[in-house]
Amino acid sequence: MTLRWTVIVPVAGILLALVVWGRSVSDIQLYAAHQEAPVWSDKQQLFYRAWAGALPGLAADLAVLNVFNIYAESQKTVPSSRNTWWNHLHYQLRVGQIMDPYFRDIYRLTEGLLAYEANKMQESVEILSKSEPFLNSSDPLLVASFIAHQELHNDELAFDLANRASQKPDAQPFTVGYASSLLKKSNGCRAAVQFLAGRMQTMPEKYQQGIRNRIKRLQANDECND
Amino acid sequence: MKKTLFLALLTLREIASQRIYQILAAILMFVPWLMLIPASLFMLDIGKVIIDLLFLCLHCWLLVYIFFIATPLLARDIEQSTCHIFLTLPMSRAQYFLARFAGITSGFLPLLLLFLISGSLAIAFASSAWQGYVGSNTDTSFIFGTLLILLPYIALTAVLFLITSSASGLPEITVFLFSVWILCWTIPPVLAALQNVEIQQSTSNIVMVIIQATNQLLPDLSSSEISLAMAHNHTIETVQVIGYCIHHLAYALLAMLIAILLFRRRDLS
Repeated sequence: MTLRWTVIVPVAGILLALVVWGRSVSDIQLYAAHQEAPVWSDKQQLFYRAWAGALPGLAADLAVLNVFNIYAESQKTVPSSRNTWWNHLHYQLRVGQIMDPYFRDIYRLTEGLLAYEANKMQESVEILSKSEPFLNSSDPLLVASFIAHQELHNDELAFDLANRASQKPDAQPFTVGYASSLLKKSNGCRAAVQFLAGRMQTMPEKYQQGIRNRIKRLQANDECND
Repeated sequence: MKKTLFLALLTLREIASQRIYQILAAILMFVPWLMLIPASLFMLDIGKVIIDLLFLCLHCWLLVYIFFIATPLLARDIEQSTCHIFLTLPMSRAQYFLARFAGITSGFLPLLLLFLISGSLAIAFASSAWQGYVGSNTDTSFIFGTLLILLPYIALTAVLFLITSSASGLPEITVFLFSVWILCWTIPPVLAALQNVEIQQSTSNIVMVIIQATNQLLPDLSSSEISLAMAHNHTIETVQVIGYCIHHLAYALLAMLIAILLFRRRDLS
């Protein structure tokens, strides 16, 4: 049997068209919106550690990439139906924090997305406060303290976190001042706006929307306008 | 000694003349540069991500070398009885195994050199492109980490000889070596996680004993703590580094010793 170009070319063309069609209809998404995020348990880290093996840092990098994907997918749905996405987001941030607790991007995304986009304040404080033994930076603890004070209205926890932040080597006078202002429970709203504006500057442009909305809500408050 | 050196050099030449080895060398020259693309997606710790990705490349090429270059070379010696050519020089079986081991481990060096040069240049470029996001010590951490991560693979190469000393051919060697690699990859980090009190409480004692017993038999291939420390430019204490190096080199020598003892008694007819 001899193969002729007059046969090969049309057959190859049809096969190529089938490949293109197949790819266009199999719109495989990393996360299905209807799929519930698994609930995190400490035992799950055994599985993640087993597959990551010698590269736990890479597992954390992949978790961050998943966070980017989840955020992008969540923006395609209406705000009211994003809760499933936020559960996935929280799960990936926990994975990232467990696999590489030194990775600063995890804490930055926790602050920017989990707290102010997903409104998961309790979970954000939990992840941010876990940075303490691993990072020399006071930033995550300071943010956790701010969230505990401003959103959870738990001043005892907020002061504890601010106090821990002020003991970090890079603690600024602002951190100490903030901790003391928490004690006095004064300058709440204005300090909050100032603090959030400062934090927003450190976030990439496309992830600033959640914080911006929060500032607007605070500024609408009478206390801020006095 | 002369014969051992001769066979070691011959092994190196055999390896270097293989197409896959040359392709691997060519790939290693540009793959570290490709790693800069995913690294650019990150926000603060870009230097850390670059090192993570470079270490991923390192593990991948080391595995390709062991499974697709070293293993078939040794398996051919046994399956096609090529080893008889050397053993009738006359050369003792111990000399034959040692020479092959020296040749195969020295085959790592040209690839390692290429990888280090290419990786260091890529990091230098990243440092200038993303100033402030790539630490000044990233280059040193990468080189130091790469050299440390290589050691477990020398131990794995010795395990390859241990398996070959009594295996019948390529499928058997590959299956057993792959199983050893999987266990070495997964168990040490799981054991580290089991140090957590909360996890210990929820894990049965029998499971803990089995995992720990298995771990004692295998080289600690994971080097996960080193990867993390190097990626974040953390310093490792000298005692720890010396202990780590001695652990892997001693394991490799022990495995080779047992392999030679087993191979000496093997019926090759």
